[in-house]
Amino acid sequence: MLIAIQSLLSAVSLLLESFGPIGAGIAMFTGVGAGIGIGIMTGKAVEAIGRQPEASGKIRAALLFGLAFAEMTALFGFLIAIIIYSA
Amino acid sequence: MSNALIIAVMAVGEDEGRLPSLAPDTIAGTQLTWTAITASVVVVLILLFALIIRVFCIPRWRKKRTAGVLQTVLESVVGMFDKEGHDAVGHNAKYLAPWYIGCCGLIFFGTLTELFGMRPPLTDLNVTLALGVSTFIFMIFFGIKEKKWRFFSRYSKGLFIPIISDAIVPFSMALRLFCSVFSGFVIMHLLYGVMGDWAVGVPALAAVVTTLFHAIMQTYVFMMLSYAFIGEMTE
Repeated sequence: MLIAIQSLLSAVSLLLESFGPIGAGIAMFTGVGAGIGIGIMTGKAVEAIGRQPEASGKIRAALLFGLAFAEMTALFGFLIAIIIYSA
Repeated sequence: MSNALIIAVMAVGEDEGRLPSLAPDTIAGTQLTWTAITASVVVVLILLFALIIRVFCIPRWRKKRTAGVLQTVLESVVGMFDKEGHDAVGHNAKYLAPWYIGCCGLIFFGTLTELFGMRPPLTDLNVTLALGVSTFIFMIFFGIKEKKWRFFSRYSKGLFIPIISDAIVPFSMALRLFCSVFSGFVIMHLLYGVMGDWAVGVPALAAVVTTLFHAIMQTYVFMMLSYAFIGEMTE
């Protein structure tokens, strides 16, 4: 009886300790928001260039600037996924 | 896939079959970390470059009528920091622009050392936290210097939101820099580990996206955000 309880507890603790990779996978969902944001941003930039091709230098600069912020959000999730996976 | 991970772990020289813990040791003083080595190399090289330009090139440039390539590049960099500073911060830019040229030099050239195999200093959270805290200190200092006692009228309507949004500034700037550069470092590390002896061509393409892009963009973002925060406080 005691052995049964001990083995049940060790099985439960093993189960609870093995959720690292699952957490890492869930943490990667931040990439979805970043992908949608970058797609919308690029679409608007292309529209603006089509409307006024002379301003394409400024539009490209603003696009790259916004791209850094959007990509950073996805990289936050990537970093947390790495940390959760390895600990 | 687990074979690739095992090869990656063995290639970087760490064992126990787990993903290597790439975060640096945060003990300072007694233990030498890669951060100290790379940051020292970058700072010494930047200072040597500045000394050589000042001693040999600037007297010659003063006499010339037309500007060469190096002079134009340097003038455009310094002019960008100065102009953005004057737009955002006003007359305090004469104190802030040199500081931010130095910080952005460390960020840019420090991240470029990853192309040579060294570990960039921004992969250490201590360095990025120092940069973030420096922006925070300048925010408070120049805010009080410009507005004196009216500075504290920010906190008159409700104490909670202004304090949170001010206190989060150093941490957000630190984590922004850290996450960008560290994730690029991890991806390059894993790529070299997986490819092993056949690492030809693909790491060069990956390095443009993970290292060069982040070096340029994080420098620009750090400068613009710092000026924006300090300008918001001194307005």
